[in-house]
Amino acid sequence: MRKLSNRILFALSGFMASAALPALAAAPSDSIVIHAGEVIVRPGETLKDVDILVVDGVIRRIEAGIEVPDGARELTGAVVCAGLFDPWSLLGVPAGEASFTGTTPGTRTSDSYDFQGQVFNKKQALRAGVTSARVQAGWRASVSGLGCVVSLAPTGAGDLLVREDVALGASIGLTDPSSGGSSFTFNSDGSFTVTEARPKPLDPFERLSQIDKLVGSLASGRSYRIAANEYAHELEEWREGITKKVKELEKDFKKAKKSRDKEIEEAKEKGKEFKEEKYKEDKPPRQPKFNADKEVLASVVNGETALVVEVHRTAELRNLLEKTAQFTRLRMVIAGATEAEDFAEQLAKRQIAVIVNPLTPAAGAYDELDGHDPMLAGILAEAGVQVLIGTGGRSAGATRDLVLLAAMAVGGGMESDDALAAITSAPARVFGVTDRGTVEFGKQADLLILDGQPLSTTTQVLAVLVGGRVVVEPKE
Amino acid sequence: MLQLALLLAAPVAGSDAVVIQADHLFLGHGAPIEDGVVVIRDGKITAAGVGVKIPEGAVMIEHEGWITPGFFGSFTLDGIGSERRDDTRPLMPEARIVHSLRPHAASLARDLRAGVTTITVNPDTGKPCSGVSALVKTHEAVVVTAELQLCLDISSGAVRTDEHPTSLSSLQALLDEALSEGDGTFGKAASGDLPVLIRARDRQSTRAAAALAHAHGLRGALFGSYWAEDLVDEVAASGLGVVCDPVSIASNSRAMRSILALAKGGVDIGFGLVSPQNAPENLRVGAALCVRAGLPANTALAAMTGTVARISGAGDHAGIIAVGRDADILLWSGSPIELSSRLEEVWVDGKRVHGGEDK
Repeated sequence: MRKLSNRILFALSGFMASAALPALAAAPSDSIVIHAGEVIVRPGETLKDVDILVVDGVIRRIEAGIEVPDGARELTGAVVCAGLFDPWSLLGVPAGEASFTGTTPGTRTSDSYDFQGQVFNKKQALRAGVTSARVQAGWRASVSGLGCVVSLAPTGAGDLLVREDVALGASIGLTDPSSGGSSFTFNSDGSFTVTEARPKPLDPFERLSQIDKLVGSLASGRSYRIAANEYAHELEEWREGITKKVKELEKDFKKAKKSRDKEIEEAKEKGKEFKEEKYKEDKPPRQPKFNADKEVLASVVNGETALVVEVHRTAELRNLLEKTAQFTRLRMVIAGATEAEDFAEQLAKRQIAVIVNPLTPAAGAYDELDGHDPMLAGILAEAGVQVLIGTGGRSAGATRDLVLLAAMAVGGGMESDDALAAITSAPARVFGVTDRGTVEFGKQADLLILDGQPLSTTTQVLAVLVGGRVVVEPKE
Repeated sequence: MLQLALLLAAPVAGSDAVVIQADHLFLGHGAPIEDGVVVIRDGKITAAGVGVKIPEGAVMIEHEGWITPGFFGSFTLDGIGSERRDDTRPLMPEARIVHSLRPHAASLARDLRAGVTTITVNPDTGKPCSGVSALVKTHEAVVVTAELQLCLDISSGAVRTDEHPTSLSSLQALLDEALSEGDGTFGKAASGDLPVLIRARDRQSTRAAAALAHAHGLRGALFGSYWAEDLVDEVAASGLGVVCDPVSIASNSRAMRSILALAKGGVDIGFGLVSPQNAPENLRVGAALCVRAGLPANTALAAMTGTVARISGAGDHAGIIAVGRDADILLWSGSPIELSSRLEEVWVDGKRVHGGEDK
């Protein structure tokens, strides 16, 4: 009976919130106490044998021997850590929008995000412990528009979309996957097998010209912002000028009226039209034309919105780093970074975070991935680069396997704590979603209850909490 | 750093025995042995397990971590380039793919670096009978057996629009007839002397392959696991093992479910390598995904070593650590099922051929 009701509750809560209705089931005001053998507060900092009290979806206390409040639910597990965060995901973006190439800086992934759809993939990802993701539509376009951060399980109406303008996505030098040509073999069950020839990479100079284009866009965003600031300044001056003139005129009001009346009279006599005196204050400053794309580019140049650029090869990395150095406020994140080993020092110095996908690509897949090195994540982290690990933004199903990618990075020499941070606290920090990513007082209770260490293949996820709600129930 | 040459610092010489002791020794089947020892002399394994006699004057190596047999790569097109396919006629039972093998192919070296020490080199699927595969060691491309498996394809991929067979039923009839006549290579397969590898890629062909094997008493393996989830009983009754479709990041959950169901149903399973399309480094990613879905870790390890070699017809040559076998072993920092473990050394014929330099 209990099992059944749990299932219904889960189904209901999922359905209700995803339909953006007020949550009816499992009110988050219920308190939960988790008895943990070990709490990974943040990677590298653990507490043994403590309890976690969650009230109203937020972590309220972490200490040994918390008294369980009346009616509070109790959960137990060997290890508790923060919910995983895929910083480079496609989960929830419909296929058409995912590969759409007509995107502009103002295109918002949140407008295409399928909050109701891809339920199976989302559930699988949640069961594997992934609770948040940065998703980006239009990965094939050179400028993909604004990506968003989503929560994979609803905490209540409206909470699915955590941040809708988290970063502008862009890419340099990606091979068009359709350029290789493919052949289809139809199977008797109606499905088909696609055999693809190796796609043809872009010409090297064409790739570099994409950087000039991107830098040009950023520069136009900067000019746009300067023009907007100048306008605001001129507008203010103009208003001050008017106030001053009005005061001036009011002072000599009677005299001015008299002379105006006289002039009207004179004009009438001469049969001429009376012309009002013109003041220079009559002409307001010209407002620059609103441009949604440039608004976004301006906020990127100003560091209000991050810029995530997928780029892989040495020449492109070098050019991109050189040409973006002029934008001192830019918060750039590099995704992919296949050949970034030689730039580790510079990336660390400029505090440019890197999202690595440690999966070895299929042989002859894409030219830009040929330099894949399973040790990249470890090498960059060792050099002091902020490394994030993501699933590559190409396949919605991959987000489920985020934790295995982090384990692979460890296999390639990355410190285990760094690898866990790369899928929890680091993405939360880099993308400014600081209400999650660690297990601390005041943080949103996105928690995993595990029977072992998070990066181990044999560890089972016992339960998952998102915003204090149990979205993956422990098995009875 | 992790290992100590206790008695001799000199390089491994001539016929001196080498003894490697590890925290965990996986022999290619069963459960790993704690503090197991492998004794190697003249490129062969002379003892393995616990409580074995250590020969005098042997070079002792203590390894903190795991030892496993070299991984077995079942179904590869490595080193055959465009020779993978010949569409001139539907049945080519006498065609030996070994004649196409280029020993310096980069994919062989890549396999070796990933710990795959022995592979089957196959003609490509997509023909009712595409020929005979070979068993090849990835180090120096040593051909162990030129006649390993008879390669058949009973799926829609082998049906043609312009030549016989043009339907699934005529394809099945064609193979059935060839096996019944009992001539040449087909005869060897029908009498059980030569194992088969039968490609199946959907429900119908999985069922047809099981029926064909059952009817003719074939041994070997079915190649293709994705649709086997609800056909486990039929596959089990056929006596064939299953070389599974590669599983990787983002694989549909059915891929793992089918493999789990086969293992649970008592079918011998092995992970297919399908190189060079698939990166050999990802062989154990598939194993990890299956373990995470519920496959016992020891079954998954054997599916990359002992079991997969056996169902691929190479049980006498590769896949296990046993007395008299080639000393093809892998030294890991931890269990290969954990993706956080590193492959530290690859040994072939008793010699370290990869890793271990910067220790």
